[in-house]
Amino acid sequence: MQEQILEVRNLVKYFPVRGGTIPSILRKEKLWVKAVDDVSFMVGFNETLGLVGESGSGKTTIGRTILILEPPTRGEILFKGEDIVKFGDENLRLKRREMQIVFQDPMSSLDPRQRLRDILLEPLKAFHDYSKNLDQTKLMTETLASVGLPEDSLLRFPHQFSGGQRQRIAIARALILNPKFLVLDEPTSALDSSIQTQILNLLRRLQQDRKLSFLFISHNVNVVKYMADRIAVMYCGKIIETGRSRDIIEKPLHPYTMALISSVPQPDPEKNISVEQLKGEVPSAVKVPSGCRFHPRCPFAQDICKQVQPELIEIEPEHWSACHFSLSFKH
Amino acid sequence: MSEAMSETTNHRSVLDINDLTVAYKTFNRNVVALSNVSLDVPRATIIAAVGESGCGKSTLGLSIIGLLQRPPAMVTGGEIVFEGRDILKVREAELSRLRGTGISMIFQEPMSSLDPVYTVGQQLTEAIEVRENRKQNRDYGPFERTTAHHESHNLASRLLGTNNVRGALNTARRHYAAGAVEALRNVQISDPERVLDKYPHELSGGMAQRVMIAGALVERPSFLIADEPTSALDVTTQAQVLSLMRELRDVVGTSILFITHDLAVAAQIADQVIVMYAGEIVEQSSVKEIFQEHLHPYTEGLLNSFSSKYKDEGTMEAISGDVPNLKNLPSGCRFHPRCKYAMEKCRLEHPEIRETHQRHKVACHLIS
Amino acid sequence: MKKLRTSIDAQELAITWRILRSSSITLAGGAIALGFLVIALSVWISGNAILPYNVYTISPASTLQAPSLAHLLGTDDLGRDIFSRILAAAPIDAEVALSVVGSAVILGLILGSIAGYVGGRVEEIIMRVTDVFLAFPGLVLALAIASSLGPSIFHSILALTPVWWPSYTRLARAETLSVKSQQYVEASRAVGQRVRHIILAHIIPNIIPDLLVYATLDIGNVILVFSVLSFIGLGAQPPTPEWGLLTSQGESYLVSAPWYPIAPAVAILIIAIAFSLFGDGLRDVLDPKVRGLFS
Repeated sequence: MQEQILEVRNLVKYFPVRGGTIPSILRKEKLWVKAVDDVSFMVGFNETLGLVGESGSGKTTIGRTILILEPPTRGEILFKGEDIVKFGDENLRLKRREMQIVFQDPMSSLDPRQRLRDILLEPLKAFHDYSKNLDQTKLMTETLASVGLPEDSLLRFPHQFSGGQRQRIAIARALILNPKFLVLDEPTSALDSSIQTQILNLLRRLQQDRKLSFLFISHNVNVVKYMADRIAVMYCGKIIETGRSRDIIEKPLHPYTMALISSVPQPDPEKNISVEQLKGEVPSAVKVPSGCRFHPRCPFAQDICKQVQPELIEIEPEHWSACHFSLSFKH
Repeated sequence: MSEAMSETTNHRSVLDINDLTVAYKTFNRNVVALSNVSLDVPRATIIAAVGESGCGKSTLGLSIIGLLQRPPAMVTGGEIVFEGRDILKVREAELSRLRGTGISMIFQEPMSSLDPVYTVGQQLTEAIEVRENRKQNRDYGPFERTTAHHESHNLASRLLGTNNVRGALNTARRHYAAGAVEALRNVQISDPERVLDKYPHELSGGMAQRVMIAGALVERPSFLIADEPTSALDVTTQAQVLSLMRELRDVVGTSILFITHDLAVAAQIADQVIVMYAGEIVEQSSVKEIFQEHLHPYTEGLLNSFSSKYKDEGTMEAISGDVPNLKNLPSGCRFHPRCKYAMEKCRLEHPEIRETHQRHKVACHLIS
Repeated sequence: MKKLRTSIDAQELAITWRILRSSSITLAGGAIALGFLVIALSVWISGNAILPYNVYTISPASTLQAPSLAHLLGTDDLGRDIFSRILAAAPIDAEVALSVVGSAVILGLILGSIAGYVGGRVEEIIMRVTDVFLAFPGLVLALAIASSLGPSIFHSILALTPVWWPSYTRLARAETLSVKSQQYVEASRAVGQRVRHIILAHIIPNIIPDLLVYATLDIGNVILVFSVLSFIGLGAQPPTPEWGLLTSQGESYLVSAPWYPIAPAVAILIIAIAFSLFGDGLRDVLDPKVRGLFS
């Protein structure tokens, strides 16, 4: 029985390291950028899973790998129960109709030389068999209306629209084939704050109307809080904590999550960021620290953290954390 | 206007901007980027300039330090008074002497402000030597490399820019000014000696930004313009950088114009806040009052965008409409098409900025 | 069949026109280049009928006459009007230039975009072949091919095309790589488009403008090299009028009747420079920063 629209198991994505001072042929062992290192998660029907992380966490790579825009190194991606990693090119292409993506940058995600009408027609042309019996014009105008764009904008070019409107176009393009699952990769990060709220509200409404599932990727904790039912926190290629939004934000069980939440500036001058700041830098994804990847920066690190990599364990009901000491952080 | 303002101004104002108007020339008309902006900055104060695209906050920063590209930019009115002089009328050679130790600037992308062919140590050393030589009143021209002013007929040393040819070629034995290590320690870089030898592209964004701040600390400017310095950084790194800026204010006494689009960041760092929209200041006050007793509808709308609700706590209120196009500004109050409180008067008459009560200024017809 | 839909935007055309209009050098170059093409077309359509004098009739009575009202640029050693001959050469040079540049653009577009988008082995093969051609100095290669094929205009076109297409392939590939990295290409893949469609609908329309600028600059260059071929005797053959050929025929009269070789040489100079200047102006047209200033 399918409870989830998407289930990812042990996903791994390594990129080969290119360049550097020693040419790769001479190196004794090949070096890899371990962007995503054994990640598992699920997204339910009509649900949003928020994927939070900072630079180098691997969250963007996950978004693209799930749709196999980048082929995964290892792992299973079960979409509606079928492992799409094993699909051939054409089957994969056909599956794409049901899983779409909205990218971050509204400037470069639309072809500047295509009119809006052609941008929306493109998905329909790609799936001719599916769309040939549909009233395409009606579908386009309805989709445009659902994202708040006027019908007369069909003949315009992308540069004639504002950033927020372009993002609406990107959403319309993603929805025109009526998928049930969307990956949203930082969809509002490049927009002005007042426009961000508009787009987020639009996404929420669309999810409700169409019963969509979202994988919402963002570095902004407040945005994810507003959009997600559950949150998964990533650090250096791994999910280190996951649970319901309220649990993650109010009762974090992993030291990185704690530091992350407390670093988020609140729009209240009385609430200052905790003085205890994270020292050090995000580690390189090539030379990953031994044991727990967070141990070099963790204020609670002990010997075991350097030696043994912690597993994601359910510490509280539906609240999972990958830390040897999570039990001691229980509230 | 300037006389009346200086009456109420703190006499120890570091910088005084009066009625600044800046326009950009396009092919058939002038686009006004800043309209009648007035601001005075007291000593050791952090003022956050908050706004979205097109509000003019970056233009404001660039105007102060004199880095506007003119043309196509033109200052069509107003003055910026620093150390008793209107620096808009000062010539480039003299202006460059003010930069660094008088007025300094750090940018969103620290990589583009660091010269990729010199190490961190060499660039910090240059900053230190400029500071030292200015203290001793040695006259420095605009872009002279201070580490290479030896007269030398040796081709190798002329190419390398130093007499110490061996030292220049041997990375392990580069000579940096004494204060360079200390400067990096001050910004919480844990192994400064190693970082001194690194080239800018070898640094992460957060590290590079800290190097920029180290440079600023070394130069001890009276006024620092920080243009979105943390927008490209992770939130955990951002926290570190913000505390460094506070240190700059507290220890050196620098005043900072902190330009940001993020009201929450402004809440963390600022003493005063100016809210900008379409080239104007629409509200100005202490940080506490902006958040607790804000008056302008745009400020209210912005605050709503930053409120953090959970998914099941209902919808956040969004400001309708789009950020205005400077080429096509609305009549009257520039915010009126998006304002939920707009009255007929708002469409017809442009509201001037007025002081409502102590040090709280607003430009809105609702408040008179 | 290829269905390339390049959408034309009236507003963008207006900006393009404003930019071109803003520089008098660009306008001058463009006017001359356009004039050249118009003359070439009219002469070709009318079959030399619109020229003041017949370009082939020999009149021994009026050989080597200095420029006058009757003969604007004088006459040559066979009594033919030089002005008419220079104009008559226009369609020939235009034909050669447009054929060579046209084929180079099309070849380069196809090969470069495939190499850039598909990558891997295909890219290696295409680019290495391109490199081999590029390794030869252009003129030497053209001369070698022309002399082995035998002198004629058509053979010149065949000789010049291999010299030109490699640089377009390189340019097209570089542009393709840059367009490929744009998110709208990835969005197209995400939406389920096939490779062939992406190249035709997204890659090619976005790289054509740069190639066209390059091509415009090149037209003058092709005319120059073709003139050299004719000058040496490998291109156009007498009595066909061609600027390089005319210059070579007049060479021995440089002192006694200077107008004879100088007029065609100056014609080459003016046209080559005009296209070059106009092409420079076109480059501005593509620069988004400049476009922003003019919108």
